[in-house]
Amino acid sequence: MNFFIKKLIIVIPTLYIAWTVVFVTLNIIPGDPVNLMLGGRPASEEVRENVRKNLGLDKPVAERYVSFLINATKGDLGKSYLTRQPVTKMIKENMMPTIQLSIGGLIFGVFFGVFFGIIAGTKPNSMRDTFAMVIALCGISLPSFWIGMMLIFIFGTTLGWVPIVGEGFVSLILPSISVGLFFAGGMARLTRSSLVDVLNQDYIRTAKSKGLSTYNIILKHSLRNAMIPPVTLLGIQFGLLITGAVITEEVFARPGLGQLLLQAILAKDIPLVQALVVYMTAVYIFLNLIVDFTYGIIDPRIRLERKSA
Amino acid sequence: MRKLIKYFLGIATLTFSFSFFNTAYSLDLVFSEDRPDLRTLDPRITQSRHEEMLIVNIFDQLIAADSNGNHYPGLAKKWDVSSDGLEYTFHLRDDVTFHDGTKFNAAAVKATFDSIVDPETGSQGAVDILGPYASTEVIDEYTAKVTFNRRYGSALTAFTETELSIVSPTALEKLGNEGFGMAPVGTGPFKFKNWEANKKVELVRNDDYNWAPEYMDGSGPSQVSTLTYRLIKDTSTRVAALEAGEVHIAELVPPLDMRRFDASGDLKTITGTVSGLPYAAFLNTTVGVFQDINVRKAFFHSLDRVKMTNDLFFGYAEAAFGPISSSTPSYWKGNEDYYQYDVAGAEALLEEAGWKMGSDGVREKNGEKLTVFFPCLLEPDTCVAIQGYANKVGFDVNVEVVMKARQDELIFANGYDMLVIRWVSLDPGVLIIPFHSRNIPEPGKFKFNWARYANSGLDQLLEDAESAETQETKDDLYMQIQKHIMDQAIFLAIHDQVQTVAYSPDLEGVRFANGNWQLRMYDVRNK
Amino acid sequence: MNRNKIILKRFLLNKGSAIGGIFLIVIIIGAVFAPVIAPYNWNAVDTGPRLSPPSLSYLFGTDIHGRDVFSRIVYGARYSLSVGVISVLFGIIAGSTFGITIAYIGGRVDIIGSRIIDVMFGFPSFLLSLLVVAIIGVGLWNVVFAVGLASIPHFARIIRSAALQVKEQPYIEAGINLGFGNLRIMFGHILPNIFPIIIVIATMDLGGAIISIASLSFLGLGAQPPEPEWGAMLSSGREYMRYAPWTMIYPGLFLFLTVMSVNLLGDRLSQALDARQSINRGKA
Repeated sequence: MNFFIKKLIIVIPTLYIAWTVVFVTLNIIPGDPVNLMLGGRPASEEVRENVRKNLGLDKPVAERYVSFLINATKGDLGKSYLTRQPVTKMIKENMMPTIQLSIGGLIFGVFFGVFFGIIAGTKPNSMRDTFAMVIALCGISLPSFWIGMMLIFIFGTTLGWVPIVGEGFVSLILPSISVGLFFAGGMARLTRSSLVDVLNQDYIRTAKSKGLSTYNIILKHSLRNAMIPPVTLLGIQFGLLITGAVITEEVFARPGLGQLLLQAILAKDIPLVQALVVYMTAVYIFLNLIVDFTYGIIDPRIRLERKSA
Repeated sequence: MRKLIKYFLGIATLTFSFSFFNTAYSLDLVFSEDRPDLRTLDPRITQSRHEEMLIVNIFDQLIAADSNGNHYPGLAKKWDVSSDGLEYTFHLRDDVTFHDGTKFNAAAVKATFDSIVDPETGSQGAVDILGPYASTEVIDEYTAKVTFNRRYGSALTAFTETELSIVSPTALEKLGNEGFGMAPVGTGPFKFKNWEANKKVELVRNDDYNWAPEYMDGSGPSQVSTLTYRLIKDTSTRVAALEAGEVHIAELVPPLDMRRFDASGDLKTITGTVSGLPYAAFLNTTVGVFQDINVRKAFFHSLDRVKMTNDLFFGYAEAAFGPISSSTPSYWKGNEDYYQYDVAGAEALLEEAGWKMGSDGVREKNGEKLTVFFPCLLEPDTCVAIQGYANKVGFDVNVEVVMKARQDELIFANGYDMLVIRWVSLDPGVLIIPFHSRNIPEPGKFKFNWARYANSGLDQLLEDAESAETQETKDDLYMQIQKHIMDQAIFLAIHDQVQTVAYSPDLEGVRFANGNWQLRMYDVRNK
Repeated sequence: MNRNKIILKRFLLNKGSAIGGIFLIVIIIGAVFAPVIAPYNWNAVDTGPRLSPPSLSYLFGTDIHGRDVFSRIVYGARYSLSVGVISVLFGIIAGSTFGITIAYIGGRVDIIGSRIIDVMFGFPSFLLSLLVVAIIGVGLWNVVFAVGLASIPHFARIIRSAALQVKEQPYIEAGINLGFGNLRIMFGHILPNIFPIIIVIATMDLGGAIISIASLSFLGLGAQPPEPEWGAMLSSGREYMRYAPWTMIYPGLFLFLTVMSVNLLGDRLSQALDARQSINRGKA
């Protein structure tokens, strides 16, 4: 329990400090927020004063900072300059496509990554090892926007196999590949190396000499331990998936949080940018926390440490 | 087989829009451009042609106009103009209701126009279109008299403009200006239903509609039961969606695709040449290198507009030459004699002005370089083309592709050397918007005189032209205005604006609204 | 030194690093000698017929403005490579300074410094770059700064742990006892010993930096027209993908190959470093 509580305690200040950074950076952006809110519409002094009050800009910075933190925790971060709708509502509306995309990318990345990693790791320095690792290298070297466009070009425009617009399952395939490719590459490499390490361990050699089949060895004994390092990779990769959404949603013209963030930045819609960054940071930190917890559960070393403590 | 798969996938994957096999009169329109940032659907406030794409189907005007600019009775059955040109008496229809059930009457007309000139409303377009508006008087329930301060020659055309659509005062009361912009209430053939920011806007048929103008086919409720505007920013996605049958109509289809559709006949196309301001460049006369008129002239001479337009538009748009497009009334042919493509002439002008060619291909004078900061909001490829030509004679044009928010920022801060603009309008009176000195932007006051040019002579001409008594005087005054603008080299037309629309061959009745940009969907039907 | 020579030899003869190295050298030559190699001016409108397919005169075809794509790609190497390197340099220098300093001083400074790094890690790095660009505005150099900035926590963390390890070494303690100044120890003794690690992680990160910068340019936040940066070229090529796919295929292909070469080199370098360390351990 100590392990989990310690992690939790670190996370909360991290979140609030991150949010502080967001507040500071976004509130020093040049440009009168009142003008931005009005969208350049001509307005009398009175109207401008009202807008200023609505945005809370007439209060001192310290007060605004505190209410910002409180609101961020509550999940209410004001209204978008652009649409005048509550930003939380806009986030909710655009959340699902991004989540679908992230899950799609995750699934693709995990399956293909682990698959190629196993192919390579079970016979190191063989032809198939080189083959799998070259593919993995391609995965981490391919710019996702290029591969996305190439996929559209080949499978959409030229072959016509996949619809280009549309919001169903089929339309998720190409974007998921695009988002998950980098992840798959990293997963493959890490799975391979940790599998090689584990397979070299004495207890595995013992099992082999006892005559257990390779299959048995791989699945029952080594994989579980071999997967420990890749799990840690998940945490970092979550960040990639979230932000990969920005590019992939742009390339595939899909709705979602990534596309919303990009539009908000270009339109200087500060409340929306703020809310999105706050939200994404919270999700990222939270997901990493889960990964850390999982690590704590499956890594026998930490498990034992916990028990003794 | 492939088409079948596509249709199947289309049905299976469309969760928001209505599919092709649904009610035959359910239409999906793709509405877009690179700016899905619709802000308001309030005709009194907007000056965005994209917002007007929807507004034009939600609202009606006092006087109706077809795409050729002919006037017909609209919400007003007939109208009289006083002999001094100051009073316009409208006899209104008595059978019209707003989408919220309230009656359309003279009080609604008064409320609409009075609110437009009220600074609280923050009107960006309508207030200028109303011109020298003084007041509206409710003579009786269905008679309204609009009075102007001075003779306003463009008045009748103004009343056909979308920005002067009549809004429901009850809804305004209830929702306030902000709320109304998000949930508009008018008298048009379609009612507002729903708006998913950055995704789509849904309209539904107004079943009580019975007052379509006579140039339309039919007068009762539209055959289109729902109208969905899907915001698809990316051009190739737009086109792909149209070709896949996932949407029925697409605007701003790239010229190459238009060419392909015209050749194959798979999709029908219409191209509208817009009247108003063509795609043109303002040069900022108050800062930087463009303060010198000879540098401005040199810049204009360095551009080969005809070639540029052909190269980028493959025949779907023509080069333009004057501050207003050739299809706008009172266009002056003399515009076409100015600023021919003349590289040698441009270079000579620059040399004379003291700008000597530097070793890096950029001209210099007194240690300063001939740089031009060019924030580009519209048509990045055209901006790059302009940049290419100007750089050849020794300018150093820095293009920054911007969105509206950034451009607005730069306008307020006077931080640009040139900007591009285009404007849909039916009347040369639009020229007052970018050229009168009262329209020079300042922090907090967003206006369109982006050349920041102030000249009392031009101001006077613009005001006089507005109140011109006869068509001859009007034409003569606008000729002088155009000549002045061209002489001063503050505004150069590049090409005509065109609206390229492609749509499913099963549809007919797709037509442009007046101005040739927006599409009226009222009498669209399946063949 | 003999030891190192062996490692170096093994590294150079390895197939992977050979391929990666050769390709990278080709790209670098292309970038440096661009004026000689590129057949046309990359910025000259109407060099050839617009949107024409690859041919003998225009190896990679032409774009909508009639510019030769091959020439633009050659010059683009200058942009894409150099901005990647500069961004990584910035991150490495800042990250090393920070990491070494807090590791050396230790105690509370180290704890606070580590927390700062953790907080910066709370942001996915691309998001951080986006945020920075949102504040300082668009442009290629702004993006370089943003990507470099976002890479600092990553470098700082690794260098810090490396510095911590080195700190324990006896010769460091000896230096302290001899009265050497702090700066001298940090940058005269610790730094040279972790230099190999720095080189390796810099190379491994270079690929990511190049892609990040290209991505931001692709989104319109980086290189502005007419700069022939590969990410920006991809963005403008997208419009004509159906009619002139070569304007989209080639910039992306070169991005891919360059990043792959850099990653290959980084891989081999890190393997060589591991080998070195295991030899070290073996000896000790």
